[in-house]
Order: sequence, then C-alpha cells, then structure tokens
Amino acid sequence: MKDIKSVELEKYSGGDYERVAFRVFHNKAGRNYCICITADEMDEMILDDLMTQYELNCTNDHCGEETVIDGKKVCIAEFETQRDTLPDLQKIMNFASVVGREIVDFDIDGNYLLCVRTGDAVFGQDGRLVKVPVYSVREDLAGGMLSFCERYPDKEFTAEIGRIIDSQFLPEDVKFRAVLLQGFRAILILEHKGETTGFVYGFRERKCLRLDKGKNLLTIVRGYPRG
Amino acid sequence: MKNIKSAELPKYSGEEYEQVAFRVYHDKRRRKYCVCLTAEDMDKSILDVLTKQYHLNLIGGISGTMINGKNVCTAELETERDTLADLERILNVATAAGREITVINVCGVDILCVRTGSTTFRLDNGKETSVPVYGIRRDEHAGMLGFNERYPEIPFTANIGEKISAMPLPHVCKYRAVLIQNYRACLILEYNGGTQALNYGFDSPKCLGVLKDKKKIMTHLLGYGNELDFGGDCE
Repeated sequence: MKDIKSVELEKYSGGDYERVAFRVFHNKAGRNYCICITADEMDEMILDDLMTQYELNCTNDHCGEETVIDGKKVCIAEFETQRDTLPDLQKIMNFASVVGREIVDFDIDGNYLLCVRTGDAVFGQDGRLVKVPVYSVREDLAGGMLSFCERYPDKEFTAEIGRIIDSQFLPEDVKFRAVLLQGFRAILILEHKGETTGFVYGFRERKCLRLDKGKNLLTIVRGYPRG
Repeated sequence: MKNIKSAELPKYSGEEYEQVAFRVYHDKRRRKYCVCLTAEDMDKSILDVLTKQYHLNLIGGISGTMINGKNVCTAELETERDTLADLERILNVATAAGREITVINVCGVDILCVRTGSTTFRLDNGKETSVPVYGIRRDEHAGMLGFNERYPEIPFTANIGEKISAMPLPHVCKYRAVLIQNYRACLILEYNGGTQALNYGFDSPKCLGVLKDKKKIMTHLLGYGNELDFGGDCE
C-alpha cells in the first residue's frame, strides 16, 4: 500500500462531524472517530491486519473500492473506531500515521507481519551489489499502540545497515528478501535451501548475533515471544 | 503518582487555545499541544522520566493548588511542536489520568510503569506475601506507549499469584514487585544483596527460570534487543 493520503469526505462538513486533528474527525452522532484514506492499491489482507491491530472497522461508504480523484485512479477506504474513548482516539491517531508511508504485510513462513518501509539497504555480496528493502515491524496485536511515525532506531539503522551487512560473512547461494528492524535488532531475511532464515545483527552489541529460523526468528522479529 | 487527573487551566479558555480532545489543548500561537495534570503528590523524578520519554517540556515546574478544598500538585506539560507524532505522545501521557504511575529502579535502571493491581502468593514456608503488579511502559526512543490497560496485563494480573505460588521461591529474600512486559511476568526480588528475577512465560506457559545476570534481566524487562550495555552481573 503506497501513496497513502488522507482525504476529507463531503459529509465531514456536516453538523454531525467535528475535526479533531490531522483529518481525523469525531462523529458526534455515531460517537466514534473516523478517517478516510486513499492509496495506489489496497490489499485486503493489509487492510484486515490494520483493522485488527487498531480495532477499526471499514464504514459502509468506502471500503477499498476504486475511485477517481483529481483525474487519478485510487482506492479509497473510510475507517472508524468502535467508540469515542481516549484509547479509541489514540488508536486512530496511530493509524493516521500511515499517511505518506508504504505499508506491507511481510510473510515469514506463512506468518504475516505488519511493517512500514523505511528505505533500502545496498551491500556487497561476492563482488556484486545487492539492494533490499528495509522494513520496520509494527505488529502490536496486544495494544495497537504502535505508530507508523519514524522512530529513532528506524532512521539510524536504515542509514547504516547496508554498510554493516557489507562487512559480514553471508552464506552463499541465498536470496536476499529484506531487512526487518525491531527494537535494537536488524534481521536480514534470507531464503536459503528452501528455508527462511534470519541473519540477526545487534546494534547495541555491534555484531552479528546468530542465524535464526522458525519460532526463534519470529520471536526476534516480533520483539517478544507469542505462542 | 496517584489520583492523577487532567485539569483545565483558566488560560485554556483564551482564543489561542483550542481543545483537541480529552483536555489536551492546541496552543495555536506557539504551535504546541499541552495538557495539565494534577495529582495528590508529584515526584519530580517520575515527571522527569515522563517528560523525557514523551519528548515533553514541563512549563513552570510543579505547583501546589487547592481544587475542591483539597491540596493537589499541578504540572503543565507541552510538546515540542504540533506534528502528528507530538499529538500522539501527549495523548499517550493523557492516559495517565486515573492511573498510578511509578518508576521502578531495577539494577540501576529506571523503568516507567503503571500499576495494574497487586498479587498474593504463598512461599514454601506457608507464608503469604503480597506485592504490587506493574505494566512496563518504558519506550525511551518513541514515547508511543499509552498507560491504558492492555490486553495481556489484565489476565496476567488476575492470575499471576497462582502461577508464582507454583514456582521455586526462596523465603529469605525481599519480594519487590511483579513487572509485566508483553507475554512475560517477572517477579523482582532482592536476594543475598543482589537483584534476581523469576521469569514466567504466559505463552509457554511455565516458569522460564531465575535470571541473575543484569543484562538478561533487562532483556526480559525491556524487550529483545532493548537492553542496555551492561557488563557483569547484578549481584
């Protein structure tokens, strides 16, 4: 999901709606908060993951269908919170931070992780340059309190991860998929002999920690264990 | 910090202020967001941790005032700018209203926590012990964590006592608190002059062992990779 923008629907200028901030509106009649966004395309799985994590629903008015805005074909969806409590406002504000970002569902052995793209990493491998996208993991099923705003570690790590990988010994005959950032770890995701493997680098330790796969890899990329 | 409430200062009724929601105001002229909190007592060190984590400034320090005939402490906090990230941070701080916020020092590290309750468990000598249970809210680089009760904390607080009773507990130590972080509960205890943590995994679900090494304790309390650069043991 790229080119994400927030838009103001005509109905928001009516008496039932009151602007809160950053194109998030309070629906006084419905007693909830809402926001409408557009994107180049809307993957149903990403929309579902976003709605689950931030406890939002799609309204009946717009739910990912195509439309034309300023002569450009885009997909449009309006989201609303369940109620209008402070936690609901926090969740929709966190969700509103998708605007201007690229959101993906990253697949590790059939487990999908909600991520925001923070840039690319370029590194040398056997004399050739390899370029992979860098994603920050934003999965937070227990709280939905994670924002897509750039956090300190994301920026720093994206800037230097290519140079760090450059100096590491990497297995041969691998396919490089992406770098995932989580806390103070950068995990280079590799496909090696039909298996997904993560090459874990610790920024605090300033060294490669290990190669992980399976449940251990998921624990590292999520930042916490979950059965 | 207990009995935390958000308050409306008289100046907020002026033209330059506009309420965003839940007593968080937008200072349109200075392009910042602000909130005023009151509490029965305000620990400056807790406020310092709060303001640092959420990138806020304390305006004019802590002052005492009478509200409804009761002496309370007041602190006005404001963001650095008025971006979406600033608004998110101050809304997160606003969730402190109605909670008990504290800073627990473990192995020399200050950990911002919200109290979720207390728990009682039985030691192997039959004695009952009660300790407070806290949800960890340390998020030093982003300040994006709210103090709302999160899903894992509610069930964990409710049944952690029963789990702890089944763990190998020494009875010659001081039990300080249970700290909850994601799917782990750590019983913090002082033993032989050092800090130890009995680590329970709710996803496993079983006791995952006794942590004595400072770095391992911090890894479990602050999340994978977020531990600080420690050398040696805590003991």
